Amino acid sequence: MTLPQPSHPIWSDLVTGRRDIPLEFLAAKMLIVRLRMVMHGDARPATELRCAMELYRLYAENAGLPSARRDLEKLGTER
Amino acid sequence: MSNPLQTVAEVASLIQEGKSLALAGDEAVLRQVPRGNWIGGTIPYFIGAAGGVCSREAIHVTLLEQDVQSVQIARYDARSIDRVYVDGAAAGYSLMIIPAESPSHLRFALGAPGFDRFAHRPLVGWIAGVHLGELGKAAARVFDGRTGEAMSDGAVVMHVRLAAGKAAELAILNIFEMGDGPGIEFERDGFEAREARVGGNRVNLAKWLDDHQVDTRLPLVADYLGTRVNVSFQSVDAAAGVVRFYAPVFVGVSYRHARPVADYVTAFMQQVPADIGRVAFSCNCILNYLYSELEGKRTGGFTGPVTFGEIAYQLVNQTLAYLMIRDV
Repeated sequence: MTLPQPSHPIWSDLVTGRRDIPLEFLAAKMLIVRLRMVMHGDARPATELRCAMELYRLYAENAGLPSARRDLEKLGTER
Repeated sequence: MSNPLQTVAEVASLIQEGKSLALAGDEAVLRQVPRGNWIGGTIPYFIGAAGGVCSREAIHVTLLEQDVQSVQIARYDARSIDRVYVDGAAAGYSLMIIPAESPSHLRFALGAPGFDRFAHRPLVGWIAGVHLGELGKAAARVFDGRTGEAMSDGAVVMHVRLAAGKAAELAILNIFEMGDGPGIEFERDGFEAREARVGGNRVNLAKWLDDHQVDTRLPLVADYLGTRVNVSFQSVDAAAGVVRFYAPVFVGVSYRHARPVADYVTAFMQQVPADIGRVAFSCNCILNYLYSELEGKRTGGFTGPVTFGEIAYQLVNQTLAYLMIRDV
């Protein structure tokens, strides 16, 4: 299981909705919905970067949880 | 503890032993509990080992002992509640109780997803309530067991640090699925709505619900990336053109009215995951208790208070919220 780098496009793609990947970690699902609402109101690149980093940090802090680990196995295969 | 429903004397004995407890019970019975390391909230409905029950004498006890390294009690008000995720233990979880209809309840319900570090740490809990025969007459309260204080506003929280090698994982179990009706979207966040976009058309929602004879015992359901999150109807006033909800609706989220459920317990049991592990806390919604007639019925191994709202990171409705302890 590898945590994609903070600069990996997967984090931006998830918070903008450009990519939808079936996730299991409930916290991530709730946070992504929240971050998409933020992006809906403010789509500037700086906001996108801040939202992407917040999602990255959520997974970094919870990487040991079974559901987060299963998500990271999927995210680790994304380009 | 094989039976989570205890008497005041049994709870007092646990407190004397120095245990950390999260309690649920009728106000009169919680007022008899001696001071100690506990928090509590009012509600006389529970899911006990023998099934759903309404009792003015019993106290539902969540014992915070197994896998627990330390417990710290904290109190918040409507202004400070935005710190609840920041204050959570790094390797643990937080268990919170808020009285229904209080300023703290409203602030948390509407604002939680925007609070600093939202969802970064597991926050589970419930909204305290009253006996349904006392709606509008009695106030829900929470208790700080350290002082015995009862409060009709504020949040009481246990920030729990887990033992090494353990982690908390939060989940919800929601039997409701989106129905085949039109998508419903709102123009502003809130507990009530007048206008909404239904199938893309701007309508008065109360009138639309009334015209279409929508069964408002069934919630609105939103899709949170595959997890279904409910918002329950509190009232529909077609004359005044106002719909009130038990949890806020949010702009940018598309809702659909839920599909009817033939039998709650059967649907519930079909959804219980196999790898559930040890459940440290769970609570279920008063509307499930009421509409699905859960009195005397068991919901698998889940016990806990029956609540006026469930907290699983944020406020949810008509849902069972539960917290599992995992080996990591």
